[in-house]
Amino acid sequence: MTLEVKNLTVAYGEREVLTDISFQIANSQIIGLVAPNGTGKTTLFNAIMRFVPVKSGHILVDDKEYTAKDKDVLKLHQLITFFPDQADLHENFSGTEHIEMYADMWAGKKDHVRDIIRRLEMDDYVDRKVSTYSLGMRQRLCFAMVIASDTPIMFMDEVMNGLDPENVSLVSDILIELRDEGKIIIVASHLLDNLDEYANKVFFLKDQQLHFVFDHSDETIDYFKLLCTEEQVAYLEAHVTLPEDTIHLGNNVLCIPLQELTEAEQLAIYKHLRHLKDVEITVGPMGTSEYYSHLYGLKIHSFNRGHQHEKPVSK
Amino acid sequence: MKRVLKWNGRLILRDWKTRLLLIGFFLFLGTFSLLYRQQNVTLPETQLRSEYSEAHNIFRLIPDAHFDGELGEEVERRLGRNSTLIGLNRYILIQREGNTIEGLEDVVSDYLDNGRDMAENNLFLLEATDFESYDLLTSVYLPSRTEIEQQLAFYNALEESGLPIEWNPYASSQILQQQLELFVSVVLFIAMALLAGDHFTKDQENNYSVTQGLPLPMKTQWRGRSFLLWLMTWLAALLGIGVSYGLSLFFETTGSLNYPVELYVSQAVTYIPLWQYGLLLTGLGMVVSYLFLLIITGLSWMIRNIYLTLFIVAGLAFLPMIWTILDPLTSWQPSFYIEVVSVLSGESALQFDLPGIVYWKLPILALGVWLVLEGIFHVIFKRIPTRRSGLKRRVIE
Repeated sequence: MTLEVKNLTVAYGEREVLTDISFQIANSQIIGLVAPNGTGKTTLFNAIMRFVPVKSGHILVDDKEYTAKDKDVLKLHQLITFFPDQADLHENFSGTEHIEMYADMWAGKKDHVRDIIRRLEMDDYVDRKVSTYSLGMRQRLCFAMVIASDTPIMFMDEVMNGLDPENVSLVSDILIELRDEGKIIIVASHLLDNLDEYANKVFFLKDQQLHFVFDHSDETIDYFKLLCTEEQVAYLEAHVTLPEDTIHLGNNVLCIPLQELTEAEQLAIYKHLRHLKDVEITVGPMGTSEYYSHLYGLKIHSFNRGHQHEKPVSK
Repeated sequence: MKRVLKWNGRLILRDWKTRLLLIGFFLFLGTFSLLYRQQNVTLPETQLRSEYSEAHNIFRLIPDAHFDGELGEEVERRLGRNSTLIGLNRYILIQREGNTIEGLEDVVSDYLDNGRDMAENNLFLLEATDFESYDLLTSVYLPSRTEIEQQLAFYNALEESGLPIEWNPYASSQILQQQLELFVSVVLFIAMALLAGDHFTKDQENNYSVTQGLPLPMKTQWRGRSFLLWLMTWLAALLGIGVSYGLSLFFETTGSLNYPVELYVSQAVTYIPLWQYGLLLTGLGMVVSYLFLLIITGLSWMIRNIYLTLFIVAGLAFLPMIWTILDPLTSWQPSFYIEVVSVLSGESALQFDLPGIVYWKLPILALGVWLVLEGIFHVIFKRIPTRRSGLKRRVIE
């Protein structure tokens, strides 16, 4: 199965929200969808689902176009589920009923519901009414509903919201299992490092367009990735010649490509780093988080551990 | 459709507002017969007393001189006879034995014969245009020809069914008729509007992302919701009416479900057994209520404001009143048929001066209205805005 979006443009009145978006996703793929708030992630989902009018463009599944006609929309909705908002759950229904409803509506069967409940470790609360659930419980329920629908394409909008690290890990594992079953999954998330754990590709939306695709299967180069203050960056630049394509991410992350550096040069940089206070260093390829900072000019204003200005830059 | 009914049914019934409304509705209808017994109704014997009094008064009002001559004497005789017959029938009613009184058949005769005699006397009086106080007779005393003919038809129907005149307006069968008429003309509309007014609204406002993507056409959901609410309304109603009827059997005389009830058809009134009238009323009420539910559930999805929905529904329910101000065009105007009871009794035909307003047109018009509603909501469901401000639902490219 393939999902293809061709030259999709969405506008609210005169204002274009998405312009000329095109991509194709083959089966067994998880796509991360990344962009700051209000830049069109949910609109992209809504447009593909035909919940909102599309100014131009085409939606194709397995090379068959699905237009805005009632028949096509209905067939499209049989193929795609859209992650529900936890606030929209029926408060008087139990979790089991929600899952069964989705299973019944899409898959026409309910025999897999208990397995899903067990897999998501929801046994202890799922038969209670939703009105008693915490945010995390609701979020897991929404996830379980989408899984129960068992559609070949799933749109997971903000799927990790409100989940604790353990459940983020659990959901991530299940996403991988679903991918292995052949499903196409698009995950819109702000947990950027988490996306790197399972996404085949990450789509970055910017300026109403699909600005950049980070493909994990592409060959990558390693970087020194330093989490440090601006003063520390200045200190480093004063003492070491950094490669030209060193990337300054916001004001706190410095990515130094190692590709063109000899081991001695790498060691020299490392030695200088050892003189700096509170610098964190990781070595590896750029991840979604770094691309995000790079593309959107993210500044981590909160990077202040309370004593940066008490002592000099170096030890 | 099966899945729509199953899950929407659960959703609707899980809502406490729906439950309370259905329970309240059931309790009201279930206790109707007990409530009705608290009402002050005019007993037939009391009504006859009033007529008896009128019959006496007419003698005082008409100058004695007008009773001179052959016609005057005949009028006087018939008026006098009517006065006697009213008295006899009143006596028969008070005895509560039936149409006759055992052992006194030769004295007081039979209620139906007396009634027919009175009707014939009245028909004679209506013809007596040369009588000097004719205007007085018609304005104060005489019923219209139509009413007299209806009385005759009623006596004949009663005789054919072999039933006695019903002396007890609280009899179970009489309460049942009153209850059905009240239900179909008023209570049903209130119940439907309250039940259906906000269900789709709730979906749109509170459960948008859960329900929006369901792989079901909106129209299927709309039809399903309307049907479910219709079914629940009628189940609660029929159960309540049944309980009320059962209760009334303990407290009052049973009456008869074969008792003749008037039905306006072919520009005349005929009489059918109460059970047939009840089925007809219920059936037509079901048809009208289903159309109303389609409108209410559709509107609640479209405008998402229960108060505005209720206001529009109230406007629709009172739509026939417009035709008391404006001139109606034809008896095929659907709005006339909202008032099922008036259509069945012929009141609508009389009120709007359109003899063609007859009950059998209702199902035909309902079919037409249903097709129109299907068309209208087909368009509406494509174009209505979604919950998210500024977004419009998909439109055909």
